[in-house]
Amino acid sequence: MSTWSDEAVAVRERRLGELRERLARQRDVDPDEVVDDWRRHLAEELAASPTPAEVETAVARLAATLPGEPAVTAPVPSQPPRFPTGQVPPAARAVAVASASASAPRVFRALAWFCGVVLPVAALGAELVLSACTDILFDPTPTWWHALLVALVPAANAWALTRREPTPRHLPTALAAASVVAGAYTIVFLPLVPLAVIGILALGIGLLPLAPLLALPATLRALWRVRAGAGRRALLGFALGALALAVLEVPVLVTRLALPLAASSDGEERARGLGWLRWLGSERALLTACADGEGSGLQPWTLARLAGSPESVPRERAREVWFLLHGEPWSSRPAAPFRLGRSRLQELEFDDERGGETVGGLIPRLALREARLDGSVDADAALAYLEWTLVFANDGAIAQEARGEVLLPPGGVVSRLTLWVEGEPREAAFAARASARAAYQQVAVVQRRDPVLVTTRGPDRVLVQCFPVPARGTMKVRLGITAPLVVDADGAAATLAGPRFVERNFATAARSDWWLEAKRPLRAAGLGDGESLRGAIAAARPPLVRVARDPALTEAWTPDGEGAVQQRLTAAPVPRRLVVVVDASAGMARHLSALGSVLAAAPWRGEIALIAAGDAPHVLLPPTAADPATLAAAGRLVAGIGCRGGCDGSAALVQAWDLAADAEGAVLWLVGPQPVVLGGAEALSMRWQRRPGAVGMHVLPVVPGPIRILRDLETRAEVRGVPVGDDPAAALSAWLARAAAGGLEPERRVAGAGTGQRTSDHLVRLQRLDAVRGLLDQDPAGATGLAVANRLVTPVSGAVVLETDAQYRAAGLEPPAPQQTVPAVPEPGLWLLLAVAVAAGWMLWRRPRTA
Amino acid sequence: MASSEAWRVQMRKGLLELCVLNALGGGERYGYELVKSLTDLPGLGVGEGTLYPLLSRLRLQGLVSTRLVESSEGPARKYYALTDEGREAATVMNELFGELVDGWQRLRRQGARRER
Repeated sequence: MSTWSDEAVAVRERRLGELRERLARQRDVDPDEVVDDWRRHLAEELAASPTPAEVETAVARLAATLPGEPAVTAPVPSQPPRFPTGQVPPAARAVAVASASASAPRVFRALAWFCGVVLPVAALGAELVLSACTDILFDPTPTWWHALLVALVPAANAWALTRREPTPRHLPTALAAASVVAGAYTIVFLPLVPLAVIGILALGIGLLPLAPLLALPATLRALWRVRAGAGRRALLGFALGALALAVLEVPVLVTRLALPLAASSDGEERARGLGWLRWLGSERALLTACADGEGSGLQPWTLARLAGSPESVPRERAREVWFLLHGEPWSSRPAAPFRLGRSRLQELEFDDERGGETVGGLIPRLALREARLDGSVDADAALAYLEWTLVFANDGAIAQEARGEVLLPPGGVVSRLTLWVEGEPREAAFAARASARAAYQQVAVVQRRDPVLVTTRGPDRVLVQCFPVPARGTMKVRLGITAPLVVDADGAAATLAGPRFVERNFATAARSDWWLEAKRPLRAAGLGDGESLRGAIAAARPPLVRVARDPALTEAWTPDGEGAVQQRLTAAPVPRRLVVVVDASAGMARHLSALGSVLAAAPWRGEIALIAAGDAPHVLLPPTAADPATLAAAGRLVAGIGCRGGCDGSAALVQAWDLAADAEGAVLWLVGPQPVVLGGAEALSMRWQRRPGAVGMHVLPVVPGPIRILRDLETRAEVRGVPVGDDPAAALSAWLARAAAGGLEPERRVAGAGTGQRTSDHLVRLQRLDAVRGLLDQDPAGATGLAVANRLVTPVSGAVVLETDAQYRAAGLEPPAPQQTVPAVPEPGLWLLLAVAVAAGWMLWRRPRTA
Repeated sequence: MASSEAWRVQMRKGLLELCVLNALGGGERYGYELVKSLTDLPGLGVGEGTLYPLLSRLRLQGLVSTRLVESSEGPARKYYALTDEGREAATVMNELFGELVDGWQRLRRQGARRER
C-alpha cells in the first residue's frame, strides 16, 4: 500500500500539472488520461514512500522524453489525413491507406476463406464420403497420407486468416507446403477444368473440381502476405511439400513404368522390371492394376503420360507379376479402399469376371455366410459321401456372382448339385461341359435368373459359380461329393479330407458346421472322436478325419443294374525313386523347416532326389539311396531353401518327371498357390501321353490356393492329390509312411456278382469315374456320355441347375427327373426315427397277448 | 552527425507506433509492464514520456482499448489490448514494413555487386 507523504504528492501534482500544459498543446491526446497514466507509472516506479527529491527525479525523467514539438499524429479513421510535410512516418500513412480501403480487404478476405478453406474442405469431404471422383475417374486420395496432404491446404489457409501478429513462426512453412500440394492437384485436375466450367454454366454445379485451381492462388497470396523475413522457412515448406508428394507418388510412377517390363516375355526385361518393383514399387498401384488394369495414384494421365508411360498392362499379366513378386494370388489381398463412406457406385461396380472361368478378386459385401457339411463314411468300403451346403449372402446393391475353386477330397467327384429356388430344392442337370457352361451363361448372365454351375478345375478341384446372389439376399446351394478314403498301408485306418475353398471372390465364414456319421470310430481335431462327429471347425483349414476300419475287409461291392461293381483294395507298388519337388515361392518359407524335419525322419528306403522349384529348377540332391544320412541331408536342404516371390514349378516338374521315369519313380510336389503358369504344361502332358502311367505325381498343397497348371493336367489320372488338413507336415508324414509301405489302393470293376462288404451305390459312381478317366484320351465323346449318364462332374462334363424345365430344353439339356437323385445322407433325425420305429415294432410284437 | 541523428529520430518516430501495435499483438498487457518492455528494447531509444501520450493517441484512434482493474496494492491497474482495427492496422503496417525491408535488402545487394 502506497504511503506517499504530502510533500511528495504535492511535488508530483505540481510537476505533472506543468507537463499537462505541454500535453494540452498536442493534438489527438487526452492530457488527463496521460497524466493519470503517469501517476500510475510513478506509483509503480517509486518506492512506497518516496522522498520529494525522488519524485522530482522521476518526473524529470518523464519530462525529458516528452516530445517538445507537437506530436506527429496519425489521423483518426473518420478524418482526412493531415501530416506535417517530411515528418509523416511511412507506417502511419499505411494505417490511413488501410482505413480508407477497409472494404477491399474484406472482399479479399472472404474470397480467401472461400477458395482457400471452404472449397477444399468441401471437395475433400465429398470425395472421402461419396467417392465421386474415384468411381468415375480416378482416386485423388488413395491413402490416409494423401488425404492429410490435401487437408493441409485448408488448414494452412485457415491458420493464415486467423493468425495474430506477429506471424507465427511455422506459418510460412505450412503455406509453402500447401502451395506445392495445391499446385500438384491443380495439374492433376487440369483436364477437368473445362468440364467443370461447362457444368457450372449449364447446370450450376461443378465447383468442386475447381477446388485445387482456386485454392492455389489463395494459398500463394497468403504466403505472399507473410513472406517478410520468412524466405528460408518458405523454401523449407516448398521442399517438404515436394518431398511428401514424391514419397507418395514416385512408387506409383515407378510401378507404372516398371510393370510393362516385368510383364515382358523377355527374361532380362522381366528381371529388370521385377527388380524395380521390388525396390521401389507400390503394392497398392500393382493391386489396382491387377483389379482393373489401370494405374492408381494421382497420375492417371498426367505425370505417367509425361514420363512416357506405355499403355496399361492387361490385368492378367499384372496378376502374373503380382505372383512373381509376392508368391500368392493377387486376390488373397483384400482390397480396402481408404474411404469414410460407402461409395454408391462401388456397390454398382460390374464384376468383369462374371460368367467366366476366372475367380477374380473379392467382391465387397459378398460372403459365404453359412457352411455345413453332412457326411456318411463307410470305412469298410473305403468311401464316403458328403453333402456340403453353402449359403451365400450379398449385402450389396446389385446381384453378384459367387465364384470359388473347391479342393475336393483326393479322388473325389461332385455327384450331386442342388439349388434352392424360392425355398424349393432343385437338382442339377449334368451335361457336356461346354453345354453346361453355355446354359449357365445364357440363363445367368444374360437372363439373370437362378442357376448354379459346377465344372472341374484340375484333379480334385472344381469351380462353383452361383448367380445371381440377389442384392440384399441369399442363395443356398448344396454339393454332393462322392469320395474314396485314403487307406493306410495296414488297412486298419483310413483318411478323409473335407472340401475347402482354395480361391474365392467372396468373404468366407470363419466356421463351418460338420456332422459325420459312420459305423466305425471317427476322429478329427476339434470334433473329438466317436461314430458321430459334430461341431464347428475352421472353414479355411478343416482337419483330416481318421476312421478305423477292419483291415480284413478288402472287398466291397454294390449292385449295378443286373450285375455289380466290385472293389478290391490292393497294395500299391512302392516307387523305386521318389523325386521331391519343393516350391520356393514366398508362402512356403514358414513351412519348410517342419517339412524338412518330416523328410529327414521319413521311412523311405528307395532312392530319393530333391529339386527346388525356384526362378529356375535346381537339383539340390540328385537321385541317391535313401539311407538315414541322406534323408537327414535332404531334410536340411529343404529347410534351407531360399524362398522369394512366386516361382513357376512347370520346369521343375518336367525335370522331376524325367528323373522319376528313369527308375519307376514317383514325383511328390510340395507346393503353395500357383495362380499363374509361365512355362506351360505341354512338356508334362507330352511325357504322359508318350508314356501313360509311367510316373505318378502326387500334389501336396502346403499352402491352400489355386494351382493353375493342374487345370491343364486335369485329364491325367496320374496326377493325384494328397489329403491335407490343417497340418501340412503331418500330411507329408502320413503320405510318406503310406507310400513307403505301399498303401492300399482300390481297384474297381464291373462284375457279374459282388463279394465282400455290400456298400452304397456311390461305389458305382467311383467306378464310373475311373472309367471316364480311362476314356478321356481315346474316346472323349464316350467319356462325356458316361459321365453325364452317371451324373458326375468330370473334365468333360459339368452340372448346372436351371430354374425351369423350359430353360433346360432351351439350352439343349435334359431336365433332371424328379427322383433322379443320389442317395442322400440320412438326416440324423431319421436314424432316430427308424430306431424308435424298430423299437416300437419289437415292443408291440413282444407285448403280452390277452385271450 | 546531426543529419544522421535527425534521421534516427525520424526512424524511431515512424516505427514507434508499429512497435507498440506489435507488442500488443500477443494479447492484452499491463500498461506499466508494456512501457517498461518497450523502453528496455535496445535500439528503440524511447522513454516513458513518449509512450503514454502515444498510447492515448492510439486509444483515441480506436486502435487500442483499455480497461482498469482495481488493485489492493495501489491505484487501479490499466491494461491495454488491440482492437480489431488495431490488428488490421498492424497487419497492413507490417506488410508495408516488409516491403520496405525487401526493397532495402535488394538495394543493398545491388550495391554490393557493383562494389565487386
